[in-house]
Amino acid sequence: MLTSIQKDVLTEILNIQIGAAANILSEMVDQKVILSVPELELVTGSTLELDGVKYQQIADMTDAIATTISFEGEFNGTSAIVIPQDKASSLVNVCLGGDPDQDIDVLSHEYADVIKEISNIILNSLLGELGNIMDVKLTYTSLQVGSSIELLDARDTLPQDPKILVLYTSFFLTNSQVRGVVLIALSPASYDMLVDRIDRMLSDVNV
Amino acid sequence: MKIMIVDDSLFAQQYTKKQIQQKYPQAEFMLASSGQAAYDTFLSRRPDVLITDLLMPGITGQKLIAMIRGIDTTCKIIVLSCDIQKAVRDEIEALGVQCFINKPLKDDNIESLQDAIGKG
Repeated sequence: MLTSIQKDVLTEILNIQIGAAANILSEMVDQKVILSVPELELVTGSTLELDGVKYQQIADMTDAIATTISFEGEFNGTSAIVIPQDKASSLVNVCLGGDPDQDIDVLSHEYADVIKEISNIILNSLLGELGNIMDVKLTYTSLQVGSSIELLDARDTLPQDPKILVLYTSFFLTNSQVRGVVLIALSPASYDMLVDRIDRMLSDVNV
Repeated sequence: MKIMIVDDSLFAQQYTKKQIQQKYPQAEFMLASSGQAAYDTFLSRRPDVLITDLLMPGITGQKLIAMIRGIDTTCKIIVLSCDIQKAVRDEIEALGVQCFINKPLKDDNIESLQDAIGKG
């Protein structure tokens, strides 16, 4: 369990990075981006049963598009961004300069490539910063994009006995809302390492 | 000037090409979607500038840079990556690249690229 102050620190770190990633996206699509305040929770389990995650908002996440990236080294695990199908379509259309409501097959090669690249920017922004604050190097393995059911229910996707940080976030582009869930599944040792670093940050500021 | 862009994302390739083309309208572009394709193209066409992503299936950008630096020290190599880790930047810079830029290429960081390869 994270204490409320630990959760506060981690949410703040991740929020800053989501903001940085949204800013990049804003420049790429040349649209203003308004962020919502993200919420963070910690879940455990050998697979990620998305329909079991408590948040009502992501009830449609089982039929969604996921991009996953694994990272190795001293700090290791798997991270994913899960975006509902319709929001993913919207995001792709906006990135390609089209009508956000145009109906497309997001998992076709051309469109999946766009989702993958945007997710890559966001995940690198989040995970890279965690690596930076802990002063360790994360070695990424290649990205995968696919249906959330197929990618996240696979037992070999996640580390053993993972601690999964779930970050609910959404942002609004001028013509569309994009919301999704970022999952950071850590091995128990990596999770402890992160919590330890957070505690030291709190101690540095006498909290 | 011959510029090769290496990225396994076609979207990223096109986006990067478009940004660079605005600054270097006369440049000749080559695109590669993998480290192996990039290396083969490098051997046959010898670009002046190579712009590469790092995380790619098969031959990664890091390995590609090492392979190219093993046979050529004159080609200007720019890394264009989402990876924001300081440790990675330090490691890549030690391979003899001209600069390391975080994706995407945009107005405020394309100047670093211009400084590295010249104004064309």
